[in-house]
Amino acid sequence: MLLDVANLEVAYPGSARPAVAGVSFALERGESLGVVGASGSGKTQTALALLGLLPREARVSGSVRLDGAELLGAGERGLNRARARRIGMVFQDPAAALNPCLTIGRQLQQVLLAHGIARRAGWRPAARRLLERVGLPDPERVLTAWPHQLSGGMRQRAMIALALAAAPDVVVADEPTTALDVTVQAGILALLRELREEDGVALVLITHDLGVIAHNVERVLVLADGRPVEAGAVRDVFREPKHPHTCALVAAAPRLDAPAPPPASPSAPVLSIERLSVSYAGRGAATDAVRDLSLEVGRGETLAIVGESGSGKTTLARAVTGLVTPGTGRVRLRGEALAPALRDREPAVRRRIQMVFQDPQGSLDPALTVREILAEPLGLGGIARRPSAGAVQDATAALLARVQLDAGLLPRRPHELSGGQAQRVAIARALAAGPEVLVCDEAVSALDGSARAGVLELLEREQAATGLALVFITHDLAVVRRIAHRVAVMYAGYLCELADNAALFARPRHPYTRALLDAVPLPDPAAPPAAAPPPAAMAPPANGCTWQPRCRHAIERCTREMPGLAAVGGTLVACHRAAELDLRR
Amino acid sequence: MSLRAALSPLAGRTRGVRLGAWLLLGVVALAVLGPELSPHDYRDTNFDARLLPPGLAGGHLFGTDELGRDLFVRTLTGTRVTLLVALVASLVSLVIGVAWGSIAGYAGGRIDAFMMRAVDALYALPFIFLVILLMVAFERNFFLIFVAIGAINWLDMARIVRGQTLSLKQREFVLAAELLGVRPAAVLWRHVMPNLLGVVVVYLTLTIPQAILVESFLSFLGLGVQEPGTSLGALVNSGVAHMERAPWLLLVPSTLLALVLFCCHFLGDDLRDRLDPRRSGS
Repeated sequence: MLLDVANLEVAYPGSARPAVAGVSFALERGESLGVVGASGSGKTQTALALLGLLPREARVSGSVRLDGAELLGAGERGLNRARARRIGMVFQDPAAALNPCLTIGRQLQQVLLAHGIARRAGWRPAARRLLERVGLPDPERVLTAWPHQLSGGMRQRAMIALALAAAPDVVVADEPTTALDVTVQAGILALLRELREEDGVALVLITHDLGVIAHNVERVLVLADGRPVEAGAVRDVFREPKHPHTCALVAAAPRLDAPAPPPASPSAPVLSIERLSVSYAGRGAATDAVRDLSLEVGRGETLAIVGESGSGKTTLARAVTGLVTPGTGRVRLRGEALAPALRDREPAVRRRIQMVFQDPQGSLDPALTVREILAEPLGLGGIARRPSAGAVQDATAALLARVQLDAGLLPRRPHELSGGQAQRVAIARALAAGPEVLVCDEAVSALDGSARAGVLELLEREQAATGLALVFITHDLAVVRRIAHRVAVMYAGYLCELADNAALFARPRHPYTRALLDAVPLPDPAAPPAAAPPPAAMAPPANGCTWQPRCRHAIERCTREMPGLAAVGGTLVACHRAAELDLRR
Repeated sequence: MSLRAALSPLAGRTRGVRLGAWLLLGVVALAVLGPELSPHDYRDTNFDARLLPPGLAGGHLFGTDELGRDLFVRTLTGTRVTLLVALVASLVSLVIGVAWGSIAGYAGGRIDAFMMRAVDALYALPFIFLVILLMVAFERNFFLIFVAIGAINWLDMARIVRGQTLSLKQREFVLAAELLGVRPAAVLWRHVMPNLLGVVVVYLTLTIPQAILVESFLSFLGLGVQEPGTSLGALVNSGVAHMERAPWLLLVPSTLLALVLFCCHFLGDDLRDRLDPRRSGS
């Protein structure tokens, strides 16, 4: 047995329950195990325990054997040798796991020399081979690059190259793709799969995403509250989950084939974005984040904006709310043009467009209690100029009830709330202002499955009750499918496709939309695995369609001319070949 | 870590830090109560008891100085003055520095540029000489020392606070408040300033010893507190004159000065470790 973990337990002094208890699994060469669970289920603790990376105060018991040799209590020296040569670790955030002060080459050199894998002069070819192995184009340039000069996907590949430097038998990957775009994720997962199949590396893949598990491992271990609740082959666990916790996980897994919400009844637009362009001044040329974009959102309608990171969707959201001042174009609210900069908008106007941010904790003032946070918008002319303590108590409790939270949370501070609770408080604060438009910027991306579903339901209910127009910015197509009436797809600041929810998923018209859909890992082992489009170049092309360098269907015309938006079968598409291509699966 | 937890009972600290805290507390208590309990007054001269060595015999625990004044009472009175100067000077720097830095940082643009260039310009002045000039011009007013020392320290405070404000104003809870239509002054007061507290408190604990040193330095030069009033720096200064015949006149106040500085630094370092957002991430 290559890796044999028996009855692993991790406990911290001062906490009644151990963080991990009774975790056992075994792994042969070339095998793979997925460890799944919600946040706080002990996944990462398990991974760190395998590598002896837990903080000093952690009490670890049980046994972790690698080729029969016990790793627990092996001492720092023995562990270091085992860690580099036998077990490699890939962390969630490659930006944090790579040393920002050293080039990729230097970091590889250190590992290669420290373990005597390469002799002094020989490290460079060895490093180059590693970078080629993990699919990095132009390894010579990557060797001399600093981590910040690489994109997220390239960084994660470099991180995997580091983990592979000493040709380990086991690779532990802790949420290796959670910080990455869905299109990049598909590539990284394919790489991990390939390493396992071709090099015989055993893989422990830790994730909260059942879609990632479905196609990349053979067996699954489901954790809940630090305890294993179910283990078995992937197909069996997905087909017939036995433990109720697993059933809930499988049921809550985001799917693209969920029923789409019925189309919103047509109404005059509440929010109109007209030919909006935003650019950021940088060293040298300015970067265009949003280019000549027009959109409308009606009363009671949800417009989702999707795209990879860097597509300009967050900039668009900020330009609508006024947090970023657009270069040209305007934003209208019920036909009335808004001042481009937030400071020029009257408070009463500001309150009509509210925003919910990605990081629920970061969007609440850590120094205030929930009561104070919620009282702020009320005190600004909502109820009275100077509301009495009783009135504040009633009003804030009512707000919490509106987002289905208990009034007992009022005296708490943000760090005492769970992610889902904090996001509900943030939504309550936005609703307290009585907005007509609510812009949600990745509002559920930081939340776990059940918290995410709860927040989406809450938004839908509020929308049904108040006719709120929602602009929902996300990279997650499953969330789009679940909540959006219409979907706008953005790439490199341009609008590529604007379609009804049902139409977009059934018949995408833009090759980029197709690529996004193909890259989503479906939580179904029977479905085809996610496919990655070619990676993005460092700079978009100077002429022609911005998507064309990565496009499978590009023709000569695409390199010359940027396509304009045109209506094709009820959908607005910016593609020269939209009418002739059939991108249905 | 919240500010409250960082300042709350001394539990969970290393023995050294706890010792420092207790020592400082003891010194403060002694400085406040000691002169009241002693039968001597710091002004009373006694020419029959000049330069008495320390000991219980003459009723002068730490001995007497060249005018026969009780050194125990004088040292504690001096400590009182020194601590008071340090505290008031730090408060002056706190008020000006936090207001200036947070307004500059939050306003941004031209206002920020103008305010911070003003700080740069003041930085360029040789401040000790400026203080000396002030002292000479305004006839050694006691309160001027507070103001002068505070006027040195607020520049650093303003820069630190501005830097923090710049990062705070990008935080989402500040953006959310702006979207709600909260007035800029209210955003600054309610959302920015409370979150500056950690950094400010930490810097303050480093400012206090600095102020003590400057005051001692000025008093040592004869520009600080005037006779018969005294401070630790002034006592060290007069002790130097009798260093060979009566070393206790130098040793007693300088030991106490060193002790206070040591305790302040120790506590400041500890607080910085606990409150630094870059280290704890909370």
